[in-house]
Amino acid sequence: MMKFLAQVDHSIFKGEWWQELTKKEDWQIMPPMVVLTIGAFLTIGIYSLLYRENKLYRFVEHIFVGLAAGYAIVVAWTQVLADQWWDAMLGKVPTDAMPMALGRWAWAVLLPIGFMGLFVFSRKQAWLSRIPIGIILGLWAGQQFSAFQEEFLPQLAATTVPIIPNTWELAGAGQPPGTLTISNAVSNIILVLTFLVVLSYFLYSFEQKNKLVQRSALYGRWLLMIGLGAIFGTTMMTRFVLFIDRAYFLLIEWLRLGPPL
Amino acid sequence: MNWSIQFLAQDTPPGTNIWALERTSDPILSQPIFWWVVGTIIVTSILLFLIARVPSNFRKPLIVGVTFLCGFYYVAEWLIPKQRLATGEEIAPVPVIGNWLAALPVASSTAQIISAMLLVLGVISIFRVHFGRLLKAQKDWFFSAVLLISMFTMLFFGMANFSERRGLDVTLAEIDKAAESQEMSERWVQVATLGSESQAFTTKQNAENDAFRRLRKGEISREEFETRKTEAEDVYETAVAASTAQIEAAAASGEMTPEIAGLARAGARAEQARGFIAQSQRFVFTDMLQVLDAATFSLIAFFILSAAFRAFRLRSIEATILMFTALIILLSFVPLGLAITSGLPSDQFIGNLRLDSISDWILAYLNTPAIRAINLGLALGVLAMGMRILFGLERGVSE
Amino acid sequence: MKVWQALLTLDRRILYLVLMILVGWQVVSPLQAENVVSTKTDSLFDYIDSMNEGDVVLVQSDWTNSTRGESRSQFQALMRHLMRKKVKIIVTSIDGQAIEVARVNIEEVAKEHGNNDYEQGRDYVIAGFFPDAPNYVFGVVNDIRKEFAPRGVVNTPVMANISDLSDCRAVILVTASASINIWYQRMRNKTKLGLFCTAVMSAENIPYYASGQLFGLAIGAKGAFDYETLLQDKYKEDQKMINLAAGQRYMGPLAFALMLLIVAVIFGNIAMVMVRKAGNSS
Repeated sequence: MMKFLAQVDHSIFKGEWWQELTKKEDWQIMPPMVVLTIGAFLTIGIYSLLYRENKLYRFVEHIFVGLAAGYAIVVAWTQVLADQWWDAMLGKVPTDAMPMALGRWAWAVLLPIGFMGLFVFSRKQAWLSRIPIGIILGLWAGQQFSAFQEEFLPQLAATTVPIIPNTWELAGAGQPPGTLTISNAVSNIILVLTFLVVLSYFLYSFEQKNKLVQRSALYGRWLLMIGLGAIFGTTMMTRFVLFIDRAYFLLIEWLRLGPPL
Repeated sequence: MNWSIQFLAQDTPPGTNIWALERTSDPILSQPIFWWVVGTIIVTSILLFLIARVPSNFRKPLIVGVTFLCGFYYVAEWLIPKQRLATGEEIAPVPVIGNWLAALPVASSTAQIISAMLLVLGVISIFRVHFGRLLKAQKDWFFSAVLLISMFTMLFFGMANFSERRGLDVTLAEIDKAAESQEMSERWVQVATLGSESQAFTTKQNAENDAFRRLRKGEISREEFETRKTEAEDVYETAVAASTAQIEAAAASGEMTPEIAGLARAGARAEQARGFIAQSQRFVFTDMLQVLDAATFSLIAFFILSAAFRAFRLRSIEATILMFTALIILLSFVPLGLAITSGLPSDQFIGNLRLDSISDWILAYLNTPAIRAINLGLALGVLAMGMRILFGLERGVSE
Repeated sequence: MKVWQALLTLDRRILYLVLMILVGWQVVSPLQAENVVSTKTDSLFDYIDSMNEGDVVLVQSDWTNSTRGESRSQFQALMRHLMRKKVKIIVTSIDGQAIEVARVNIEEVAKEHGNNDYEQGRDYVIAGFFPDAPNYVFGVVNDIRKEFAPRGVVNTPVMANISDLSDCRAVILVTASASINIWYQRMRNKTKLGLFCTAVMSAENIPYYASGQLFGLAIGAKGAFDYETLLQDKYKEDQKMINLAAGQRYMGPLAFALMLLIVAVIFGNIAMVMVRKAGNSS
């Protein structure tokens, strides 16, 4: 705690932070510290929700949505449509340093097709908007066969592991490669059983009469909880780190309360 | 006879092609490519207008047909055996049609372009809602105004910055050309001077930041910090002076050396990045949008914490297993947690009780197969869904 | 008994305040502990470390500042390593904001001491954003030059020796979304796949490490710290190089935040039991 107070004393009471507010290079339109202060204001506005719903939060929230919506269009144009569609369609005028690019007029077909999406707002002709959506979904669906093959065959192969030990040693340290010790075999048996049992819980989630399937589904649910526990733990971690990063932004980058990275 | 696939692939074999026309620097209205594009838009629109008139019992087959044809391209791509040429290129030859794979980039682009167009349409619907609210001065019109102003600010600076960056690309290409022919002009003298200044400035700023970091960590004293700052200032002056001399020599001899070209490239970049547009774009994107993004997503940490405190009760075997696993995983992900057991030797039997060993074992032998089984279940569902879409059985798409 | 009752009905805002204070204190003056590097990160580092000067990797960066805490330190550690090894880099993204963030971070890291003054066009190229991820991966796997041709990066020195994806030493993703799944599905074993992911995605991706579909895996802030630790071990002679960064810095606050979570759950359960007991006895 003393260390903490020493840090605080160092920055604020010696007045460095206040000097920073007005410091900028000639070409900069705003001092960097003013930029950071605006960011801090927005962050605090978002966090004010933790106290309760309020006007400040709604104000900041609408700035956020507006910026994000504007950025979506910027991205769509600058990253895709400008290069892949507009320039491909009309070609590029040659300049001293850049060569000419051919124009391929066939790309123009996509403009009316894309704009059929607008019919989603029309009550009578809403079905027309299904055509562009159908094209995208069709292209997606067609890839699912090879995708399944590529993604899950290696997974299944990795699950069919040997389960019979070929040595009577208990532990694996210092064994030549290819030996399967008893402890390895036990681990592998657990791996295979877990896979089968959870899969049975998943595939037979409707009501079961068979005693064996019932049992297996029960254990499957328990083992599933291990997977979910791991997911829960790691989710917590991500969310906390996000908050820690914001705390770093407010306390170190903005207020300069401690040593930077 | 394989012109059809060549057309689909937008390939340009030697000779003239009706589907790939030249673009010249003449006025756009006098160029054939422009009229071809206009004609294509008109013809497609008429076709689509006719489609909109079809009787309602033809609608479903039409959508299903389009969807199936699009999907069929990839299914065939998966099924047709591929050959690898000596050049490393992969082809999928089909009799009469030609190399089936050739049209792949076009299929890929098509999906990307239509997705991007639909994205724009989505934003237009946000605009409709809020603009309507503003016009009618309904409740909360102020917030709608804030939203629309933010949206157009971002739109303006984003687009302006994009066109500036394109201009920068042209400048960089010109510099490359000048460097090739070793020609120096007045413009490159200016740009290279700015380049040398901006590079030296970056070096100075890095040195200052480093000194500041060390000062705050207590590694150096305040006097040392001040000395380093003055040193950085001196280094900056010397570097600028040195490269200015170099640039002047080049300007006098009229010859552009590779070093000067490098400075000019840096200068062209700095010229753009220091402009009003680029700085404003950085402000709205990096310093506002990204900050808001991070703050909003970090709120969830608080909500999960409070939910865990209120709702996480060890009432059943399932909840206990879940809690216990989460606890071990959590501890194994922070060094302070690992420190609890890091005293145990890792090469002896007792080493199996180290937190990292236990957590690794759980993840590898219990979590891995469980997640695999979940994923396999899901993937079978996705595969079935893909088939339903392809064959028009999925109601949400076809009806 | 009243204490337990009060604990059960505790205002959540008090809990929030405790979290803020704990994290704030640890961010300003963090406690440090010795790191135990995970084997998953170790194999990631080893493979990248085995690359030679002039090799090319494709880095797909799909994170934005919304996950800056985890992803930025991962991305910067990866970039430092690649730049010091003089490996050439092609950067893509399937997220429109992410590509801009990647550009800013690469430029920042390139200016650091010891990172060979990486320059766009010569040492790395930014091929840009691809909104339709499955088709983009498909295109890259089938014909990388054709897929990147509209992006103006094909004729740079970076891609001079790349005629096919198999000429890249690896595809490495730094991601905060499920974008890696598309690579599992469409890679066709052309090259190796490495992953830096946020902690929340780790549980679903560990199976792919176990099956060998990933050559290595760095998970969340801990993965970043692991990578930073390995960099520090390798480059500790040069004092001016930055090795340990946010990954290390965030471990202290993370430990305290998690401790608060564990304590909160334990006390919540005790309070429930105590209150229920009291209810039964009265």
